[in-house]
Amino acid sequence: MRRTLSLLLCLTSSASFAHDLWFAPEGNDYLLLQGHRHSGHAGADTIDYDGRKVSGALCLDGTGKARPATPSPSAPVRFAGPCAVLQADYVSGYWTKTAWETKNIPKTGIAGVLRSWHSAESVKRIGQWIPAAGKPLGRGLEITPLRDPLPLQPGDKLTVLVSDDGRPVAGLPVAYGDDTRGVSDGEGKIAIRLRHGGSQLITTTLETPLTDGKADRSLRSATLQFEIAP
Amino acid sequence: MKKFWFYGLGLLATSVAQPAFAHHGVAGVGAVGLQGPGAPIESAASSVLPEGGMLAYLKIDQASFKQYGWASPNADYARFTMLGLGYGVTPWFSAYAFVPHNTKVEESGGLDSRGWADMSLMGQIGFKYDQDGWRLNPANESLDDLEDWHFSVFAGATLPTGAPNHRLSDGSIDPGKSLGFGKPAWTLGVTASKMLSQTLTLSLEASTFRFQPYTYDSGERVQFGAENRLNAALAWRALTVPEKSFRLDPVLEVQYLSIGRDRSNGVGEDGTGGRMVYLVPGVRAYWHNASFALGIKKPVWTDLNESSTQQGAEGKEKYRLIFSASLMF
Repeated sequence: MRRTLSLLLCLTSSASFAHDLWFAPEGNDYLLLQGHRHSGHAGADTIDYDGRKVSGALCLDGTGKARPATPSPSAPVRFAGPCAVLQADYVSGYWTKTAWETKNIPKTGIAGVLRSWHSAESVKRIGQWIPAAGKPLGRGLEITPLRDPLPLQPGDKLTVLVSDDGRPVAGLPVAYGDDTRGVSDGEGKIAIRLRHGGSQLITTTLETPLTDGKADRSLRSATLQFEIAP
Repeated sequence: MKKFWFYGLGLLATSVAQPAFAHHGVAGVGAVGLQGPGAPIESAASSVLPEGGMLAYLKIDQASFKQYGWASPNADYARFTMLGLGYGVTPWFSAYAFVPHNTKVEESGGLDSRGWADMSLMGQIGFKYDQDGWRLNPANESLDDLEDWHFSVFAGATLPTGAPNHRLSDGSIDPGKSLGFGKPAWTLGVTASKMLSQTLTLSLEASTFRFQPYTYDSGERVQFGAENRLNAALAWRALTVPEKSFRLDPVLEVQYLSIGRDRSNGVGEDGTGGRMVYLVPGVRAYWHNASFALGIKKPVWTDLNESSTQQGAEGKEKYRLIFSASLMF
């Protein structure tokens, strides 16, 4: 329980300062955006990012057939649709924090390092419910709804599965918006109550030690996105 | 008879540091519970202990009585101290053991009584209801799960470890001041709890406490009247300081208590039993894995049997000061 508390505090504090990553449908295509549009805290609606750091994407069509989704070269990155399920990765890379600043570089050769990490994020959007949407895609850290979330209404609970490369992960904190709601159970599951209509973002973060000498920790975050009626 | 037993079996995990965060009961921690459901001051709640979790518990209940000229020497005050240990056998079943120490003090010229009384054992089964239906409490619940209706059934009994034939300073035996019931007394209760909002928690309890007749060494055969309770409590999460793992909840509790007439040698005794309503305003604080509660319990309505002849009994208190502390580990 103490571990749970510390994990929650950790995620809560990190979530307070992080931006969101989400897809914005545009016609049959999808724009990958970063910012605070769906955040409970202050910040720019969208922020610029380096489109070259979008490392890969996967699109499932309405039949569940998977195909790679090629990102456009510049931000905001555009993916061609339609996709029932679309997942993309954004790897911002190494970060090093000193007493003076936080820079997007490895800690190698830097003096006075307080903390260093490697950051990778992914977002998965469910736009249409198909059987394959209820199973992990199997690419890295991921949140998967265990039922069709699209007909749900504010106040309903949704059970999701937290997995890493398709395997359930226990004990990971899961947040709804900015608010950490608990940790995944022994089967990687956790129930989240939807509290508003429109776009839904459910997020988890996995922090592990790094031994590559470029950073102390690996921080991987995954977001599940879907929309319900306003 | 003025038995004035302590209300202890219903305490359960009410004072557990709420799950602090994410375990159901006690998230706890809940710890945890900086954001989880609140708990009553004295009544039972539906929280059960996490599997493998232990709870150490202390309660002090000090009652000060109204005094009357006709009743001299009046009962002045009574202090009921209870030590308890709880253990989460499974995510949905907790076991508890309590040991009480009673002190009953009368005015000058009266006969006091103090000592360890009957220990008690109790079990509690926790279950819940949500959109997926009824089920036993799972091992892990999110804060959103904790907002659902939670219920529990508890049952327990005292063991005759105390001294029912405790003799007062004049050598007499007063069953109302004895340190044991002589035979097991049992309790059965149900609770329901619901977070009405993210800061307001409702807790309901219905329980009964029943006694068996016992023949004292003095030859008197006594059966104390049954106690039936209906309690309701609202806890409001007013202050949360996450960096200090601290939370403070004002709590308002309403308790209805019905006590049957005591029977002595098969005959109902005058001046015993009745009905009453207590109001218990108080506060509960959570700090890391500890929880502290302080409340003042006052009778606000009474309908006692032969009320004008009762002194030093339930419903005749000036007030009761209730303090409890619990530690999860």
